[in-house]
Amino acid sequence: MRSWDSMEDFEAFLDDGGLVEPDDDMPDAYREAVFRFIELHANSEYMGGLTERDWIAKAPGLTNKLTALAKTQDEIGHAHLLYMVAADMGVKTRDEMTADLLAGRTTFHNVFHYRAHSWGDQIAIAYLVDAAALASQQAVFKNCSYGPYKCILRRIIAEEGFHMRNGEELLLKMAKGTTQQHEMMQEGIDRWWWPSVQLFGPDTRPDDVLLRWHIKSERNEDLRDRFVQKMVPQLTAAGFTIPDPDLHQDPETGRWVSGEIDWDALKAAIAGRGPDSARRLNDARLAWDGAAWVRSALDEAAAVPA
Amino acid sequence: MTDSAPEVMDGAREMVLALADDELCIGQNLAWWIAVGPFLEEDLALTSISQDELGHARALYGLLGDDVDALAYARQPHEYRSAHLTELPCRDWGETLVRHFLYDTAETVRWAALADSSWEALGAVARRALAEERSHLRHATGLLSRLLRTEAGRSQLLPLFDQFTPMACELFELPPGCAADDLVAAGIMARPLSDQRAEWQAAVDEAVASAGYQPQWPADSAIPASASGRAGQRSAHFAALHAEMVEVLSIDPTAVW
Repeated sequence: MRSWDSMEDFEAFLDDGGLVEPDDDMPDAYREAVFRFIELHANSEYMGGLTERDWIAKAPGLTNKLTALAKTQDEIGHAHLLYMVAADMGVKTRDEMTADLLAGRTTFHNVFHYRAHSWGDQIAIAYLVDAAALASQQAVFKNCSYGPYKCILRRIIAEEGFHMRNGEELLLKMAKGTTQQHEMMQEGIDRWWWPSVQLFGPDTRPDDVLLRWHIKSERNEDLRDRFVQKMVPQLTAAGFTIPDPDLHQDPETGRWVSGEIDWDALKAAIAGRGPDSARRLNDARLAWDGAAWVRSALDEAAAVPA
Repeated sequence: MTDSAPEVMDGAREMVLALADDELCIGQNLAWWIAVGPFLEEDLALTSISQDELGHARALYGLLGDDVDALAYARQPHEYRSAHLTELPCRDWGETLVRHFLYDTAETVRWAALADSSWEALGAVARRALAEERSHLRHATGLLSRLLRTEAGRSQLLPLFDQFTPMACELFELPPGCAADDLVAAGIMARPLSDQRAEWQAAVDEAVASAGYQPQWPADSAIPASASGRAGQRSAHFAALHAEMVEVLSIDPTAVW
């Protein structure tokens, strides 16, 4: 166990690329901030699984079904790892985190407050949301000062990369497919473009402790901009349009410039007032409460010798 | 391919179709549990098993033709051969556990009887599946034995055995026109189905004996042959299950997804 005499010493350690481990005597503010960040990530993976599950049963064909199921299983696997890493920080237990999430006391990413309305939406999630999430996670991984988080991010990033490539492959099939498939995909892009852009969050404040403590390594606006620069040409080349009438190319730099971003939509979603927030949490609560007897019976069995 | 007589191979293909349909329905129903299990570890376990079962379905359909998706999804309901147990939605986790235990115990016996099949490709599928089945069974029996040590577990789970065991016997039946004796004589299947069913019943009896429970086994399948899934009669749950499987596919049957 290591300890630091002052916040200055601790920050110098972080600036030198030091990795904090769970048994270190880290400053309370750091512990709290990193914990909140990982808890948000865990909640989002879990709710992402719930968002995607609507289309697994309906996935067209055995290969797509197996791939969709494996992908969503990865997200639940990420949630599982993240909850364990978060619980090890000693702020809350796993059960407390679940209880807080289901009671609406903690949050999850805006994108998982929306509903997947079609198979096209399912692909848009893999293509846009997973790409946005991957970009954010890569930026955290790059310079992450909390050792256990960095360790599991390595695996998460590898799997998210696979999801995004799967999304690209499916999107191209829709692009080359029938008129109906093309329309279905365009509708998916129309529904998921803005939530994906908003996922990066408003511009990072200069005093953001997550940057100073090497959890984030890049500002939200830089990540968001890179996402737009990458996605606009790809989607356009595949024959799709971007649902942003003010999107244009800067004549001097050639860079794509988005129209105004509706941050109220982001705030409303995160506050639990998104289009599908109530159903998402309700599904999770029903499942959790319905199987309460299983958890308590297993606890009871563990306490009694066989 | 085996050099068995053509009519024996027709029967063997009917059997493979029934096994494949069982796996397809079970895999589809287990996939439902992603993100809504009693705890995340259990979501992960059930959906791994689901992927294995769907993988077995794919391998078995692959023995029957090249267009696996057409075989899996494009038939009329009366052309499916699934046992009714596999068509049950089991949206209650206790139901899923009991069905999972009965089914994977049965599968372990069924695959073992096919592992040395004279139909070599079927034997290869069976050997691979058997290895996976053992881990499925560890999962099912581990949870079942722990839960049956508790009052809550016994009161939730034991009544489900009464409900499911008669139906589960259908797992050891073959479609009409599929002569089990010929399959054994041709070395396609190692043992008669009556032997396999007896071994399965003994394994089920043993697993619940510690809870002071004895399942009531019907002399023959509780489902009359004319109403059996193997004969093409679908249970009340099949229509919804199938509609979900093909919802996107049926938007445009010519599309490539």
